[in-house]
Amino acid sequence: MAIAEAVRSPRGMAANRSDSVSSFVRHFASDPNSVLERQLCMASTYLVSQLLFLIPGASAIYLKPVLAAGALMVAATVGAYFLRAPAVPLRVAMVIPLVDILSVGLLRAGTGGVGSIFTFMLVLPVISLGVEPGRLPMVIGGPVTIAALLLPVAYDPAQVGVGQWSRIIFGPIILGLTCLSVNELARRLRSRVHAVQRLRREQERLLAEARDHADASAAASALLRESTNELVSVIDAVTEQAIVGTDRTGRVDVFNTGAQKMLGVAAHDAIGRSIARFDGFDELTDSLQTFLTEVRSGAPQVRDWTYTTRDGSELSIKVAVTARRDAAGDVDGFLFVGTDVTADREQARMKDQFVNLISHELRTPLSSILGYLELLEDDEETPLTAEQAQYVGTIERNANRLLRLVSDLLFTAQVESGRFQVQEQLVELHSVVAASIESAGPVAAARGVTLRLAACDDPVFVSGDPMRLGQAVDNLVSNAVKFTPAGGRVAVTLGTEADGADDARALISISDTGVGIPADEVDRLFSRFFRASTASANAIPGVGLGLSITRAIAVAHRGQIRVASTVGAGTAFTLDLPQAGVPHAGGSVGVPAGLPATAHAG
Amino acid sequence: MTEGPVVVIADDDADIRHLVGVAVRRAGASVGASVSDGAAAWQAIRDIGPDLAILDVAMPRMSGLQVCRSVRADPAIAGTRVLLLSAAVHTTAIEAGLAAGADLYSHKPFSPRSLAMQIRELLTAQVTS
Repeated sequence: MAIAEAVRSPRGMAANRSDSVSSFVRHFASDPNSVLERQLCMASTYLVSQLLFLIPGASAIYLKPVLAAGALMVAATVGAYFLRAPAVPLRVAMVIPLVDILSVGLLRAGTGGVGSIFTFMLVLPVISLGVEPGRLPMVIGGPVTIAALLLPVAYDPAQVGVGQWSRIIFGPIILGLTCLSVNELARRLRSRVHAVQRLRREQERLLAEARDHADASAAASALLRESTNELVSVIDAVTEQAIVGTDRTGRVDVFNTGAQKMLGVAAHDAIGRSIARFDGFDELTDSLQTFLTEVRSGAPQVRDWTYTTRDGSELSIKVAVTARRDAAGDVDGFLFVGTDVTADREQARMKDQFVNLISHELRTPLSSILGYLELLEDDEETPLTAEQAQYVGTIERNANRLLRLVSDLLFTAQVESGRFQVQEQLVELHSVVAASIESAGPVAAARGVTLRLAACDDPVFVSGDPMRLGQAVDNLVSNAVKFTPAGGRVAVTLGTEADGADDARALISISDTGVGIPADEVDRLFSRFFRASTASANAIPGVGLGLSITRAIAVAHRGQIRVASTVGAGTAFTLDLPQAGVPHAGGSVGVPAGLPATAHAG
Repeated sequence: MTEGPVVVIADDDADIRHLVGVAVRRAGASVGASVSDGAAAWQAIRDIGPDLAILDVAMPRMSGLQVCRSVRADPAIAGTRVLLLSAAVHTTAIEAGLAAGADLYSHKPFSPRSLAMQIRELLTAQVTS
């Protein structure tokens, strides 16, 4: 608003001046009201003229034209009164001076003809006609005026003397010229008024526009202020993450509450400083520029940085750096968002430590138990009785079970902490599968389950850890045997599948005629400690780690595991692994020669 | 009494030490020292100069890996055979053990029968080398 006023005031005076001029001209020339005013002026003149009749010797010569003139004058005045109405077109107003002219003509005819002193009264309506816009009033007014001037002659030709003709001729000419001059002056005045009005309208439009712009700009800056406040409050509400913004040169311009709290630096100490001059981050001085070049070229970068606080303690901070871009998309600065992961790292370290401790503390007593049991069994001096041997066997079986459980728990912890890595080597799967069949054979035979292997003739290679792959197949085969009632069958097949030249797969499939898994439990089957309801219902022992471990092994080998099952009919698991490139012919990779296509165990 | 090869055993668990001792004797060797921490093992190896040291990896004062590295670094006893015994099963742990200069890396739990066989093999290899 203030801006709008400032724009308005210097031009205000000029606008006011042009206002008064134009209103005067408008009043005189085209305002409908002035029709009545002009007519009142004419009527007053007429009334004054009537006073002349009171002068002795100046009385009317003919009464009838004088009366008619009076009647016309009254009619014109009454007409002017009604023509004021805004609905009446402006053009109609010219009728009034025309009637006036006729009235004056009649007055002259009645009061001394051509020599009448009332001839001058024609000047008023002629000027009035001239003031009317356009040439039409003059075109019509000309003949009417001539007619009015000739009326006395028409009324009484005898009145016209020889010398009077010049007046009859010059009168209309002078009146016509007067009318023309007035008309021209009025036209010029009007065009100036129009120009002034146009300018004024333009000025008003510009003023309104300026006001609108000022309003819009005020609204925009209010909005900007509001959103800036909002952003600042949001950034400052982040108290557990450090948010540091810099410009293109690395000068800090944003330093939120979280940054102050985490780094122990006050905002006023940080703002304006170069990010490279921050104490405590070795990484900033060493590799900031190379790092920022990477950020500039595209994707956000996430790194773990170590920060040494003023009291000397070290923080592990995970820093994500993104580029700030301007409207054109050019890099305008950088945003560093830091999360203190010191506690997480410490927790992970402690967890690792705990896992290692458990590994040691649980496996050591089990080592003693199993070792001394073997000494008992091997003691040749005092051999065990059959019953003792059975007891020792039971202890040994359970100790081994405990050992497996401990190993599975440790392996699960290792997978969970992301520390499970496959030490890759070329592995031939026939030997892996055959070893699993062999180790599951005695249990299958004891349970009365037929265990059968069907393998393709060609060797199948994958890249991986033979021990872990063996563990995965062992889990699947022993599960199948465990979940299949006596008289059932477990079939293990080894084959390959190729979708394309680069996508050759090795498939190990283990299918059984066991209890099956309900469809709604299949999704949870690979979760840790999940046990299918059919396992619990059939009192099949286990803790629910085998399949989660098997899948972790498959995933670590860039493979997957699939399952298809029908309750009461059986289950089929397929271990799907990417095939490794087949070694060159004559290569020294140990492929078991001539492995039987079908092997029976048990 | 001290006939045949001499072995130093180090493990912080007395039962395991005894079990390893049985395996050593079954392999036809004698136990020169049986100690419960790494520093004592290092001391015993330097004092006795055994043919073989069977070391637990996780021990107080000095780990089996540290003892193994020290043995390899000392020219006077660098030829001593070293068998590391550990409860850790990670491939990385085995690699670390072999990198430290161990001749063999064996897991706990172990079968005394198999361990005796391994000890015999290691000692025979030493004799031939």
